[in-house]
Amino acid sequence: MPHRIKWLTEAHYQDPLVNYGTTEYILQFQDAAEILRKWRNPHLGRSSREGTIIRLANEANKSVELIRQMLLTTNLDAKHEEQLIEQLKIFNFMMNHTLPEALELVNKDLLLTPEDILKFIEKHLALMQQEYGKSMSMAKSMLSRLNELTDIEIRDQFGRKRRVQQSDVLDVLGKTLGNLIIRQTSLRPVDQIDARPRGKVRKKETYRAAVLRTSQLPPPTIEIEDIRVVDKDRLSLIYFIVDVSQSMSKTVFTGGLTRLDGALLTSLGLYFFFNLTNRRKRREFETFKMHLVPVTEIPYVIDNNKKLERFLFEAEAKGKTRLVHAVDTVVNHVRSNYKENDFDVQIIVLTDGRPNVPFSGHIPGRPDPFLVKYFEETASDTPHETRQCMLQLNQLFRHLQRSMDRNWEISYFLMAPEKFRDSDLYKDTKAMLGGITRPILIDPTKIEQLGARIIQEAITE
Amino acid sequence: MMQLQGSEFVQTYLDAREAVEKLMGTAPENYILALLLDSEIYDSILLQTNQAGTPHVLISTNELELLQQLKTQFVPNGVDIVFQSQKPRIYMPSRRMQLDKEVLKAKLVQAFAMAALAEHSVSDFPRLLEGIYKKDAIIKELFANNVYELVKEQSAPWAWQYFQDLVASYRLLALYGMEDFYLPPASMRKTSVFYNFLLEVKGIIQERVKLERRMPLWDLTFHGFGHAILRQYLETLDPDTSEKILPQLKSNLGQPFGEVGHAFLKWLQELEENEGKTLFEIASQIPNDYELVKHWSRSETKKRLEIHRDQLSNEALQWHSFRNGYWSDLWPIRAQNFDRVADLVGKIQRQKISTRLQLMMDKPSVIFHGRIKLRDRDVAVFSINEDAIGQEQLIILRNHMLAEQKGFVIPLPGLPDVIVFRKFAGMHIASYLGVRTGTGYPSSPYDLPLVTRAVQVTKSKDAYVSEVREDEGKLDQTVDYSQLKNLTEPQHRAIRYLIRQGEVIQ
Repeated sequence: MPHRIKWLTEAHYQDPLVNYGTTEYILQFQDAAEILRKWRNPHLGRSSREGTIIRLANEANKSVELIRQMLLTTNLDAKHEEQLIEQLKIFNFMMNHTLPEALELVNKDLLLTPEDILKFIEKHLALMQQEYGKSMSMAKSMLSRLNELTDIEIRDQFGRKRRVQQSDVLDVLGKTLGNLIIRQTSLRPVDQIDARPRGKVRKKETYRAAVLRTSQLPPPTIEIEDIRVVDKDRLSLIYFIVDVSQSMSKTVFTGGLTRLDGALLTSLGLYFFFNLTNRRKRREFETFKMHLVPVTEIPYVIDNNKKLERFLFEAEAKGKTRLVHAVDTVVNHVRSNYKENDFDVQIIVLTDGRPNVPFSGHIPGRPDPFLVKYFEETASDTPHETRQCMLQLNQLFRHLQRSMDRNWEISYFLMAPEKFRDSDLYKDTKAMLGGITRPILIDPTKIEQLGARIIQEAITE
Repeated sequence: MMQLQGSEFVQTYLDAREAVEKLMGTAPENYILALLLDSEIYDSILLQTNQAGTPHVLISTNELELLQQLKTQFVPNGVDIVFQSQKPRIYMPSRRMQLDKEVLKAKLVQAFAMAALAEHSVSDFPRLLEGIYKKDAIIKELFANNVYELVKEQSAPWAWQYFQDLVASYRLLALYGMEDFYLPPASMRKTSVFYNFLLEVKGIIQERVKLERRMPLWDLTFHGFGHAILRQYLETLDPDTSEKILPQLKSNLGQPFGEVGHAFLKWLQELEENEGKTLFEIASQIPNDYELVKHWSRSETKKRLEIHRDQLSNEALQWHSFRNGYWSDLWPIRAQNFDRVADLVGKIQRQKISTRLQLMMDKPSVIFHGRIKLRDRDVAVFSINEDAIGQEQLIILRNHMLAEQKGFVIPLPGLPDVIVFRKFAGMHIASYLGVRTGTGYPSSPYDLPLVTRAVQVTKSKDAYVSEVREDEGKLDQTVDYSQLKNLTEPQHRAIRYLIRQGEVIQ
């Protein structure tokens, strides 16, 4: 009986639990926009939420089976055994109470928001404590997996399912859109070196600048223009003016996206971009303080980040477009709330470019005479009220730009497909913003081309 | 703890063989002992074998993802796999080399004893299992080669998942004789490599199913024998050593199948007809578990097992280190498992069950309830209580004939839309999968306009919130539910709700 030991290679014994078909899923901007739409309408994702509960139940079921086997057959230390018993109890409770109830609530569309889920989890933690007489240390982390219900299921190009988190999607959106806005603004990153003799002087950079200027080593003199300092980290105020008027509910984009969807997606993206920047800087205060002004009958300011995010997820389109009123509200808000500080202000207007209610109050300054002349001389389809509003906007923006109290920056995002570029309205808007800023046309479904075009324009300028 | 060297392991191995020969008069000859150097692969093999029977079996992606998820947390890896095929295969992770030499030897003694029984038994079980093992290996090879070609040529990575699910689903349904699951006619074989693969796999799976349906019940005898031999071996050691190593043999002596089987073998030895025979001679003459347990009436068996269970409750304390919770938490689990095996014995005795098929059909996990006729299509209704078919696998059951007409690469005919009931984890779920027709050119079978829902089957009347219906009840008149059978009232209501939902969403 000759016994020989054979060497088996990996070719003989691969890990049998290998997933052959795994391919990396790449989230595109278009996907991100599409997914955000699903989040805005949570009723769309019901089957996906049901699937999640089934998966969790599947896992709990199999875990119970395996834990029991483990306790019966595998030598474990006391601590591990105790831990497993606790997990077993929690899984059993989940299988008998939590998951069936969750599925029923999902069937009824009652478990949608993170708040709902949090409440549900807390309720079941309390029930569990009643059941077992003591609190389970692992219960919270195990139940928190129910948070996956807020994730959304998407499909890759072959139709296979993946789940994505809201924050992942918004990061993708924010990065793309943030690059657009940063081109237009004066919101500099903190560590940018600036030629202003204020703050801490950076000797090395200053010395180098002097060397370059004089082309001598060592430089004979150091002039004021050579001095490099770190620009102090300043607080910037961001105001999103989001047009939620009736005209925004029109579907214009491919894939059933409305203008409002576009505007909200854009502002969500930007909101996340600024949030990300805030997180990265790790300062005591947040560098960008964000506000949102919906264009409603009486415009108001939302300055709480949570409320802001919620508004962006739940807003609906209705009413007329009181754009001038909204800008006026911003100006008043800044001047009354930040009287003492000269923070920079960035106004981001997201609209379809159809303001139709002229402002009746006082607007300082006067409109650009060239614009007045242009409106008088050129015929266009743009309605009279809209033109009047445009003049008022121009007057207000010009005034802000010239005002000495602080830096005012304006970005104007137009929600429209590419062909809007040929319309009279676009030309008028461009004229209105002449000397102030350039309108950015946003088609969320074609954002990639847009990004490429912006870069191109920036080079040719 | 000391790590055993390679040469020491070989010495232990030879010692164990010698001990088995001394105990039983024979030792296994034609077997494999696979010591897996990467212990994680052992964990995978263990989970997979427990899940679907053999180490080479293809499991569906539903099961796969589940096991991948749990592999890092809960693997009962104290057990060694003794795969009782004609040529026995013993799998061990290399982490066993950290065990004490004597413990390892005892483990090997048990494994070799079981392997010897598998080699010499009159039972059909090892021979049939060998056949199944080979079929699974063939399917795996066939799958890997053909699908690899497809993925490469058509750049279609979905094919891995698809064929894996197909094989697993087909294996399950074929086992329960589901004729509705339709594959292309034999004349299609030459059309493409994929039709060929499908037909080939279909043939092999059907052969495998034939083998599986003939399998006798044998686990009780097999594990009981291993148990008995290990006990005998421990008696030959000096008491100090055996006492020392006993707590480490939890996986070998602490398993309910072994406990119960051992008890029966012991009683069998006491019978008159078996006087003078060795345990090995008795065990190798048992063709199936019914022959093992048939000698005692129900009442006597109950009485005997009750005594054995009481004995066990104190003995089993040594396997656990969490002493505080032993009586409240651990013993109930052990007792429950013991009772489960005892119940199985009861079933075998009462119904004279000798094959796996009889047991399976006693409470089938796959039932076909018939079809619902809609105006333009059918919906098939199943109960499937198996991990293999989850929500995503339902698509395998769906008919893709229509997609084929539109230039779809791999048409896989199957069933029409499906509703599947499943009871697990305290829930009773009805899942629906419908496919809208007539849109676009799908790039894969997953890329279809799907309608999926999963609702809980419940008695409460307000469970189903229906969306506003435009047809005002006309749908119910055109749907024919008359062919459905063996369904409860809540199940019927769930079906009606899902059908309406399918229509509304479409």
